[in-house]
Parts: sequence; C-alpha cells; structure tokens
Amino acid sequence: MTAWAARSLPKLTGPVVDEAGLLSSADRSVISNELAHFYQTSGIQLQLVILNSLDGEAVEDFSIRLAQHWKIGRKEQDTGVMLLMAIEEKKIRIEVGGGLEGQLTDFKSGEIIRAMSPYFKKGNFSGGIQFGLVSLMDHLKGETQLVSKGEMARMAQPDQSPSKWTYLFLAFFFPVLIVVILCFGMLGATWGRVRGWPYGGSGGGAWGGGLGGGGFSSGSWSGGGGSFSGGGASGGW
Amino acid sequence: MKFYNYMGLLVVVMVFSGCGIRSIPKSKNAVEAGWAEVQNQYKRRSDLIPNLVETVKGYARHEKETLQSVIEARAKATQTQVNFDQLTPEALQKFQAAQSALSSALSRLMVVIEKYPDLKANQNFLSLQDQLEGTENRIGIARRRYIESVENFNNQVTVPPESWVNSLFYKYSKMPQFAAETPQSDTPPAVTF
Repeated sequence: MTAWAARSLPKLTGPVVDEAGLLSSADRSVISNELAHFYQTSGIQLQLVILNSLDGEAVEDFSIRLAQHWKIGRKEQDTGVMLLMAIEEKKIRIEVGGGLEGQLTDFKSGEIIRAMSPYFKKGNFSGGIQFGLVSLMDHLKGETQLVSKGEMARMAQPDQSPSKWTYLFLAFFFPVLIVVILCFGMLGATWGRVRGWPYGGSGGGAWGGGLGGGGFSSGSWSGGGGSFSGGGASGGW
Repeated sequence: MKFYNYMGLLVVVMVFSGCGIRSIPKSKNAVEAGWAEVQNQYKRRSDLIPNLVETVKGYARHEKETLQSVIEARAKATQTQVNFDQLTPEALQKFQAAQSALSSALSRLMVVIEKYPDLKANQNFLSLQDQLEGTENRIGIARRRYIESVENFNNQVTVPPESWVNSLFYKYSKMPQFAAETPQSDTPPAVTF
C-alpha cells in the first residue's frame, strides 16, 4: 500500500506556502500578515498550503504527513490547523490539530470546504481561499478564549518589569553570545583567507546564514511542535 | 574495593541503559498507547452508526437489508473488544475481521445512499458523513501508528543487543501486527467504465 515513492514535502517558509504560485504577491503578504497576527493573538497556528499536484498520493495521506512533519501548532496543546489545496486533483483538505478537534469539528471543516468550492469552481481562487481562512479564524476565535484564557490575559498585559530570566540572560547568555559571534567571525575571517571566501574577509562572514532571511517578518514562522491525529475534512471543487 | 564495586555497577548501568533496559519497556508502552488509540477510533465509528442508521431510515425505507447488515456488523464489532494484555495474533485477527465486516457493510450503505439526493442534502446526514469520513481517516492513522510502534518494539525484542537484555530481564515476545486491511487489498481494484 505504501509502495509508491511519495512526493517530497515542501519547505515551511511562512504562513503561506504557495508551490503553485496561485496567489498574487499582494494577496500573499496580506494573508501572511493576517495569519501571523492570528497566531500571536490566539495561539492557533493556521497554515495555508497550495500545491500543484499530489503526485498520486491521497490528499489525506499527504496532508497528515506534511502537518506532522511541520509540527504546526503549539506543543502539547496541538493548536494547529492546515488548509491545503491541490490544483491538479482539485482537492481541498482542512487538517485539524489534536487540541482543536472539539471546536473545529469534522462537520464544521466540511461545511467550510463546501462553502469554498463554489468560488474555486468559478476560478476565483483568491476569493475562495480568503473566505475559507476568514471562516476558520472566525469560528476558532470564539473558542480561543475557552482554551487559553490565562494565556490570553498574560498576552494582553505583558510583564512590566523584566523577570529574573531576562536578567540572567543579560548577565550570562548575552556575553556568551557575543563571544560565540566573535569566534565565528574570526573563523570566517580565517576561512576567508585560506579558501578565498569572498564574504569572510572582514570577519563578517558568520552573519550570512543565520540572520539573513528577509521576506516574511524575519523568517520567524516555524512549526510550534503540534501534533495531528487525522481530524478535519476533505473535499474538492 | 568498594570503589571498584561502584565502578562496576556504573559500567553495567551505562552499558544496559544503551541496550534496551529503558527502551524496551518504553516501546512496549508506545504499543499499548497505539492499541488504545486504535480501539478508541473504532469505538468512535461504532458510536456514530446508530445515528446514521436512524437518519438514513427516514429517507430510504426500502434499504432495510443494507441497514440491517450494518446494524448486525456493528453489534459483532462492538462485541469483539481486545484488551492490550489479551492481544495475541489470533485475537487481533478476529478484531480485524469484525471491523472490516463493518467497514464493508458501511461502504455498501454509502453506495446505496447515492440514490437518495434528498438524504444527501440533509444537514444531519452531511454532518454524520463528515464525521464518519473523519473517523475512517483517524482509524487509518491510528492503525499506521500502531504498526510503526509494533515494528519498533519487535525490533527491540528480536534484534541484538537489545534482544539480549530482553531475554535476560523482560522476556517479552513479539507483538502481533496488522495485516493488510482486507484479503482483496493486496490486488488493485478493477476499474470499469
């Protein structure tokens, strides 16, 4: 049953992973910001994935594989939701994290998919996607207060005084960090001299990989450690 | 002298801690959790069925036979419960047979339902259909995870060096594995147009 060579998993580059290049860059950045904001305020990581093709894999199989690989949603709380669509197969799936299955039921997921498909049938992909995401967020918003009231309160009123951990960080880790950066810088410089590395000459070479990025808010989007057990629904257009 | 004793003990602990003394019971626990999830999801499915049958009855009175076979298959499946400590290959096979009988009764019902557009538009039915599909998906995932956990556990109790620790301390035997879903599932289904 699992004999075929399964298709490769896309990289998690931001809240919107659009392999098919379906969305305009304007839509893409609006949606990305919206989803990032939603994650910050609700603790629910909502992920959009647009694929060209599933390469013969069942949408449910691919979706759970991807969701588990990316670990969308917070650890232990499993607050991840993934909206996935495949253009070639005309399939939509909403994959619901273990912690949200009670609130975002299979039926509700199915309803949202059924409401999205008329948009897609008319070729209005951007409209359908935004409708789907807004429906998901609206539905989940009512529920977030129940799930993490304490957390919401904490987020609404951030600690005024820095905690002891902040002091500890400043007193200990920060110097360590500086030493590490210096070491890497020196390494880069040495490497630069030995190998003719063009960027390492002034010791700045070490900055290259880690802090580059750009694009969506400094690349801060990554899976939070959430787990999935198959909740949600599938459909098509 | 005492110092050497402690050192010896330390070496023994260190050697065994890398060779299954901890990992064997851990992976047995993983199998147990995997099995609990499999049963849980199958139970979820049978809990949905009475409601489904009631809803379908209202629209498709003439499908008594199909409905009856679903009810009977459900009854048989709920009777065939297997606790983790009774999980033998035979027990698993029985469990599997009962559940796949229910699966095929259900899929026959779903085929019949295609004839009733009113039923298919009914909100209650749509909800049940979503839940049933979701549950079938969860069952598939729970089974796959059980299979993986058993594979891991069976490797631990049969492949050295962990298996030596097992035969010294735990004496666990291999856990039974799921076979392919139905006898037919090894051959691809014939597609006719």
